[in-house]
Amino acid sequence: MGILTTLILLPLAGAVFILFIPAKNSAWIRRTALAATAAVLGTAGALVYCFDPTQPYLQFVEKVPWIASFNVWYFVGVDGLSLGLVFLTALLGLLACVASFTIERRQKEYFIFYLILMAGMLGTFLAQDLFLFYNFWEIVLVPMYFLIGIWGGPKREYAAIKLFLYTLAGSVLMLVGILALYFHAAPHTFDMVELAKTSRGFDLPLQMFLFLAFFLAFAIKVPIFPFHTWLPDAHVEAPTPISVLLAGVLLKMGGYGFLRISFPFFPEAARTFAYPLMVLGVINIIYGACVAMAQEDFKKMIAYSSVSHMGFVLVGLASLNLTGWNGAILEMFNHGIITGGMFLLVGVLYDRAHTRELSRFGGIAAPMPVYAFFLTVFSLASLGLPGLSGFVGEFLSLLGAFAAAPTMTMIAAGGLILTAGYFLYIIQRVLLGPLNPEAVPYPEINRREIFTLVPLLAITLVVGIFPELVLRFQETAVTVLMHIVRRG
Amino acid sequence: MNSALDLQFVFPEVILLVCALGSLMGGVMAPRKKLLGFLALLGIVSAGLLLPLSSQAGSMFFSRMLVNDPFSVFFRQLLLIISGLVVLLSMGYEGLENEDSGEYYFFLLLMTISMMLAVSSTHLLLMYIALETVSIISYLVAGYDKRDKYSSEAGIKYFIFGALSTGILLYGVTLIYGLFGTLDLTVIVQHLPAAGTPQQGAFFLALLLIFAGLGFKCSLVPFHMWTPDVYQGAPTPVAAFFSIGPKAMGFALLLRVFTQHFSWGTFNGTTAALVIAALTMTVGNIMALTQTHIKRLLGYSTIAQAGYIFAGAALGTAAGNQAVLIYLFIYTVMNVGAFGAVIALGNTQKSRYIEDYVGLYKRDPVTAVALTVCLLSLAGIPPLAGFLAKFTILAAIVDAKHIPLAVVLVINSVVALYYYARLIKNMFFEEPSSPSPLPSKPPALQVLLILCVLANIFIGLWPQPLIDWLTCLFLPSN
Repeated sequence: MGILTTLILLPLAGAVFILFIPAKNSAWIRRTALAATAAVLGTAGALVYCFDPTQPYLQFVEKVPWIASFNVWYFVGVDGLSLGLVFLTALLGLLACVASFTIERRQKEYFIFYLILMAGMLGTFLAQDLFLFYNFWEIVLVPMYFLIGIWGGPKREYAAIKLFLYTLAGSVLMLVGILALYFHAAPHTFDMVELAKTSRGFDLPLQMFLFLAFFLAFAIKVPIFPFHTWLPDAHVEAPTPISVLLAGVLLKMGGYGFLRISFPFFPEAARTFAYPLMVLGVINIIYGACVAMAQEDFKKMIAYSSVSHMGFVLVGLASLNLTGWNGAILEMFNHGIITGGMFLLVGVLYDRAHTRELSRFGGIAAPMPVYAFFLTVFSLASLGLPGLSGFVGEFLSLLGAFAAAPTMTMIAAGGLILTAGYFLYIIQRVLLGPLNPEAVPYPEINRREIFTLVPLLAITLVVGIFPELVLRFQETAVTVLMHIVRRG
Repeated sequence: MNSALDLQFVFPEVILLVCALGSLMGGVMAPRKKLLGFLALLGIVSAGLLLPLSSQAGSMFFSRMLVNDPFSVFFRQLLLIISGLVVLLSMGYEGLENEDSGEYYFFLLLMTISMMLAVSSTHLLLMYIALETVSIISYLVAGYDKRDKYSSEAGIKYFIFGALSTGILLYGVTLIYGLFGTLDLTVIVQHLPAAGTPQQGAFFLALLLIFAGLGFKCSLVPFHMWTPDVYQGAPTPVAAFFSIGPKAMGFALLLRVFTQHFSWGTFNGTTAALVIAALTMTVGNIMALTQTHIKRLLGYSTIAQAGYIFAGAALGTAAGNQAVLIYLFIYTVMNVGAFGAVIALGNTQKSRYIEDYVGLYKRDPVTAVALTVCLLSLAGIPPLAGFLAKFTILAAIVDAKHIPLAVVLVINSVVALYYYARLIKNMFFEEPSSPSPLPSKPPALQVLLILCVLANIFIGLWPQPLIDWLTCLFLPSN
């Protein structure tokens, strides 16, 4: 059994183990979940360590026949496009697991669903067979539905079903696309490496049809305006750790889909659709920022900031050049780290105040100076302050985009001002100003909460100064991929 | 002509008949009625064990009335599995205990025999007789719960609709006889090219009438109206049986008549068949959205499922036919599990509405998990078996290049998720009004629920054996 299979099976093994622990024994349930997620992170760390960044192709490949009649394989592998996301999933998986210790109701089921979710997310990034990919892609939905529906806020049922239906609607059309691909390939196969080679030769109308079939699935996950409406609901209702994974990992599945499938499979269609995609990205940036600015709910504001940030990813991808793509992939990683931290911080405050209304905070920096420090750093990283990681990704994305579409890029860059606007507004309304009388009894951020934030903060700082640390893993793969997409 | 071989072929049916009669007599004489269920199970298992022997007997029996082909082998196996599962359901259904359960199992086994004969026949007359036998017994068992007025209503309703539809079928059969002078499908196919233009119209009409008759059994739109009413009124195990047994038989006969011997193209019916498939799934799903009665909900859900299955049959391709068989098999384990959970709750709570499922997870976790797995499987969520079933159908549709139908199907599965998820939401998301755990279930039901959950997971994760089994069956003939 290879390292990648271990990575997928570890959380599942943890889930099965928890199944046999009595529900009352919450200490052992937590310990098992923590052990499983820590083992995942350890394995992911070993993976990064053993990964050869000079190699553009899939590494640690495992290929076993699964359903021979349909030529379906259990085929997993990792390359520069997915490595960062796998590590991100493992890291946020552990930190969100620690953050989940505040969950008090029905812990047993919570951690079982949580670990299944982990396995699904990791599998999505590792699968190299479209059938397997689709399986993992959908598996993610079911635990997500339960996690939001059972442990969420007051409107959780509505949010859970909306998320489930929205994302399913997108992915079922992808299934039609997958099958169309399968039957157009000779011999019929779901092998993504083989399919990418075959489908490049398709004529433009077919490529465009298939591109659009996949587009909806990815667009809903990213989410691209106007398919984003599930996101604020899901985020506001989800418990804090699930919000972290939702923003940190699930949104990346959409961007990853574009990189792994849409662009390499249908390069001609990708070039045709590049400009519309760029426009959509710019709309995401501006629209997300404007809506975020108008929010009264802290969490909803961060949710809309995700919409805005994913716009930078899209703009970078649509630039169809090396700089833009490197920026987009880096931005996905950074956004996972920073927004994960932001959601954790919202959770910290919510646990104390039991509200997220910005108007009910104010002057919190006085009783909670350490919290204020973290919130300030993560806000500054999120608004793109040079020296912190958020800046590098956004800058590279825009730099790439400028070469492709200068006008659009100028509008997009305007979004940065809006972003700075609402993040500074957050700092002002939450931390500064006269102390809100309700806020006095709030205890300072505790050690467990600090533990979940420190690794994210460290990565934010280090990547901000040495982006090459992350970039070097993806550069070779991106260069090869770009070559393919450019040449068609 | 060899009467020994003839007997060898129908030996499983004979065993079933013996057990059926034993059950009928046992119902009068046996001191412990509970044992009758085991007698029925014994008959079904031994019939299943005898099937391989039966299929070695040759290819044609009883003057070409019965045939032994991969198709009949598959459906005889499937029907035995179905009745075995339904016997388990019935053993776990407490409404039957004080009734004359001897007669009940007698009827059940008799229906099984008739269905097995129907699927192994290529002769329209025998098909009709078997179908009529199944129908008449169906009316009896649908109204089995004599004290319940809904049950009586179900019996009457099924009778009226059923009598009409078999009448229509018989009319089609007589037309065929008038045209060709025989009812043997294999012979008719040989005469087919010779039929002149005036006869073509009559032939078309005859096939249309036969389709209508079979469409009733499969609850295809527009012959579906009876389904929710009958399911609602009939005793739950009987409703479960209707949703899989006669349906499997109906699809078997549809495939036999319209894809094996004739084709949809024979009477320019390809487009019409595709439209009916699309309509069936859409109507079923949209009607299910607003249902509050659990059995009506499942009734409409089975209509939608019939639409998916029929989509495979409407293609008329080998891949489509194979997908239908796979779907029918998986559909059996999904639907039996769902009905099993309904029985489990109905036994103690007399629950009829989906509000009664609120907080079920707290009160009876096994039933809640089993129902959830079966519903997600019905919704086609990977990696459960139902996804594989839908996937094979969808693959056959895309392969045949009917992309609009494929899109209709996938959109339908999103719509369907809404009402399945609503039930799951009730069970898991909400707190029960009274937190006391439910009394324990009959063991037969517990076994059945666990079996269905495992089957749904294992077939989903490892479907190759199922596919191999079908391929093995069909490879020699192709």
